[in-house]
Amino acid sequence: MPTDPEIIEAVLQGDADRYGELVSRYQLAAWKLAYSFVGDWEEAKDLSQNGFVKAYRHLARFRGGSRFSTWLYRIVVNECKDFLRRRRRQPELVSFGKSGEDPKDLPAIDPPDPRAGPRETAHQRELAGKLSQAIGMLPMKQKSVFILHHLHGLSLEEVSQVMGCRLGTAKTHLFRAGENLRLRMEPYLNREA
Amino acid sequence: MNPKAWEHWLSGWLQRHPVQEPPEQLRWNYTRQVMDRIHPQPVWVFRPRPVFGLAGALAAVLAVVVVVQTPSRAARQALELWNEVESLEEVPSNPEEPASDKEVQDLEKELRQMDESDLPIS
Repeated sequence: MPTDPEIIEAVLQGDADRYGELVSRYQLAAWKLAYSFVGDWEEAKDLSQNGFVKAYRHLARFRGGSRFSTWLYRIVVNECKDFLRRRRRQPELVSFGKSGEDPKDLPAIDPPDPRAGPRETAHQRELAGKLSQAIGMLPMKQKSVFILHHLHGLSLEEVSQVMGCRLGTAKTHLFRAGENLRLRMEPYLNREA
Repeated sequence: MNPKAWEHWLSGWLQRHPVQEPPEQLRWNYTRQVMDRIHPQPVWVFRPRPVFGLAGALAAVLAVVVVVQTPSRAARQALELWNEVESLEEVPSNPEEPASDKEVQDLEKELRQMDESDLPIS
């Protein structure tokens, strides 16, 4: 199986069709990442595809200082941020209270284990909803770091590269995100305990 | 809940509840759509269509009319102007019909008067 740098080299040499291998390799990750930000699969598909197209157009600028996926995620995250900014400027058709509470702003987390009983399922579903809502209400930088690290499994080093910040800054955002979520989730977790 | 316990609970909970997978019906053409955007169809190539044929024919007829009409109108105007100039020149210098005696006498009289008053005669 060819490595990312080998495919990139081939594309830069003129074999543009080989870019499809990179798209196939990372489409799911990029798509799910976009979905975590915008909460709509079709929008997320468009945004992640935009990310691939932009990455292709600027491929010559990619120096290989980081992994291709890290660079791609950075582009996709920026696409999502721009999209959310644009959407906030548009008038809301349906208001669910404060803009941060709009369900479309929420990162989506899977429904609970289907093997659980109906009561447990309902509780897990409620908890997932509350956690999604709490993540959605985080400030953008905290939310981005949290999503990249906790929902998509990027290391803090990779998160800092995607965010274009220092490792220490990424750690600070992650710590603050965790504290904010803990405060918001505490009432529901105490009830669970 | 203290921060350590919270961190433990959160990481465990997130492992049990991963991010959803995209729906199957949206997946099949993902790569093709990206590649199509990278290599777009050459939309600029002329494709004959009925609407283009009709519009093209009308445009061609209009172009011919304009091309034919423009020099024709100018030529006609030039010819009219030329005729007018010729007609103006013809009257004093080369009358085709002989003037009557009375007219000749009047003209001689007028010329004489002009000589007498020292006016230049063209």
